[in-house]
Parts: sequence; structure tokens; C-alpha cells
Amino acid sequence: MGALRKPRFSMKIAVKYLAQLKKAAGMGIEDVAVDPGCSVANLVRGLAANDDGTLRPLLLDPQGRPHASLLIFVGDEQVRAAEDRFLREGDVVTLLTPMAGG
Amino acid sequence: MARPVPLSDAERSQYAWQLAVEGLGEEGQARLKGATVLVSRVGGVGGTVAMHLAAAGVGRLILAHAGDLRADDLNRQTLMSHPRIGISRARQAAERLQDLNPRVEVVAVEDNVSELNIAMLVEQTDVIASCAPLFQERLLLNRAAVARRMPLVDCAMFELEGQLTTVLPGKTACLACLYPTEPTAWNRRFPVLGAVAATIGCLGALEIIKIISGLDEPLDNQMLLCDLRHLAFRKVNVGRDRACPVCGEVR
Repeated sequence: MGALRKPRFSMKIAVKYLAQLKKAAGMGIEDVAVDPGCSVANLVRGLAANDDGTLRPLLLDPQGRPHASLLIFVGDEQVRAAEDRFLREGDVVTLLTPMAGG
Repeated sequence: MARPVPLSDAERSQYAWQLAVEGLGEEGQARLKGATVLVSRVGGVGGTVAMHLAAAGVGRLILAHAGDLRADDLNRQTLMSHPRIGISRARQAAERLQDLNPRVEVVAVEDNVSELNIAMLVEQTDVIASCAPLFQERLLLNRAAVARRMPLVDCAMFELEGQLTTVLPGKTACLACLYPTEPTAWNRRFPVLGAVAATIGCLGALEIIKIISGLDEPLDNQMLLCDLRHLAFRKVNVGRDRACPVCGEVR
């Protein structure tokens, strides 16, 4: 059980993983409990910390910051990790690493 | 954007089925005829883009793709043919498109888009179709598109998912607003099903036809996300980054 899912956290959100992240996470969506006041950037760091190592390089840069190429949407709106957007109960956060060609 | 070129009677006859499409008509068709589109790579995605632009009557297509056909390209690269394994993909694609529509001029560039050729390639281009498997190429095309205030349609896929967005410089987010650096974990060899690549290619071609002909509005600060495993389509809103080093100063 990772840090984000400990019972002391009281706010539930959903995280959707797309493309490479979905493959790395081994699931398309999960419910996550976070502290009230949790920012999008903290959520991303928490997800990377929870993971067995496969998500981390997709989510964080070598300095431990949300990767600049990570696309984050809260609902249908893009949010940049640097914006300090705080999450609300029931938010659906979509995480996407860009795709290319085929 | 290029000027419309009047249609001949033979062209009116050839495009009769689509001239009846609301918002296209003869004026839109004439705009397609007068336009040039640069298609970066003619694999599963870009080949489909190119095929539908040729069928629709876009006047001139520039196809940039290095290398010769391999057997394992054929699950998705449907402009190619099995007996021609080992032969240039750009040339095969151009020949196939000329067979499909000899009224279209097709230029085969047997090289990928790079710093060395991009100025020459975009010089006579009206719209860019970005379909390369490498972000370096996509970001290079994006910089060229923004510098020349040229629309770019970015078509991408991974396994059974796809994404599509349109860059209208000065109006919408550019690719560098969305991902200012190359995603470090992207693996050049990724899962591709031909039908998924073709679906995204069709949507990309449609977006380009809209931009050129004016038949309807293209994506405007939006990204289309396609989950083809579940046939679910979703549009999300993206925004310009005012600090973007590529388009931040463009108004």
C-alpha cells in the first residue's frame, strides 16, 4: 500500500492513465485518496513514489519534478504541474505521456 | 494559405461525390486543388493521411520518409506492397498515390525531415502533417510551422490509443506548449496495430481538409483522445503557454 492510499487521507479522486502510462501502471484507472489541499504536482510525485519503479521515469524527471512532457488534465482541462492547482473531492485526473507516429 | 485553382470539368466529375458535402462545394474543392501539404513520414499514420488527401484532391503532396520497405512495415504501411520489400518507401507511396489520383502532384523525398532539409520542404507548403515516430522530428516541424505561421496537424498513436491536435500558430497551443522537451521514456519501437494508425490518419486528413477548404472548424486548443479498445472518443482542452520558447511571442 503506497503513501497516497493510507487511511489518514480523506479525499477521493480518480486517476486515469493513458497510453504508455496505462501499460506501466497495469491499469487504466484507479481511485486514489489524497490529503485535502493536495496539488496536482504532489499527486504526481505520490503516484511515482507508490509505484514499483515503472511509472517513475514516465512521471518524474531526474530531479524528482513532474516531467515537463507529462500532459495532465483535471476533468477536461489541461493543468500544468507548475500551476499549483489543488485537487478537489471527486476530481478525475488524466495523465498522458505524448505519443508519436505509427 | 494557397489560392484556389479553378476546377476542370473532369475534376468536377471525379470529385462529384464530395462536392455535395455541406461546406465543401466547388470553392472548397478549388482550395484543396491549390494547396500543398507536407506529410512527414508515410507509415501507418502518415500514409493514411497522404492517401486521403490525394483522394480528396489536394493539389500537391510532399512525402518525406527515409528508408526502404521491410516486411515488418506491412502490418500498417498500406501504401506499400509485399513484392517491393527493399524498395524506397517514399517512392512506393508516391507511385501508389499517383495511381490513385493522377491529377495530384506527388513529390517523394527519400529522407526524413531534419535541420538539413526542413527550410526547403516547408518553403512551398501550406499545411504540415506531423506523423513521425520521433519527437525530435515533430518538435522541429512545430518550430518551422510556428516560424512560418503555418497550420500543423499532429497525429499520433500508441497501441490502441491515439491523439490528434491542430496547431494554428498565434491562436492555439503549439507542440512545445504541450511538451517542451522530448519525453525521455519514449521507445521508438512501440505497439502498433494498422487499423489504429489508419483511424488516426483518417482523422488527421479530415482535419487538414477542414483547414484548407474551410468546410468546418478544426480543433481549436483541443486535443482529441481516442481509446479504440473501447471505441471512446474524448476532446480535452489544452492551452497556450505564454512562456513557450517557440510560440510565446507569436500573436
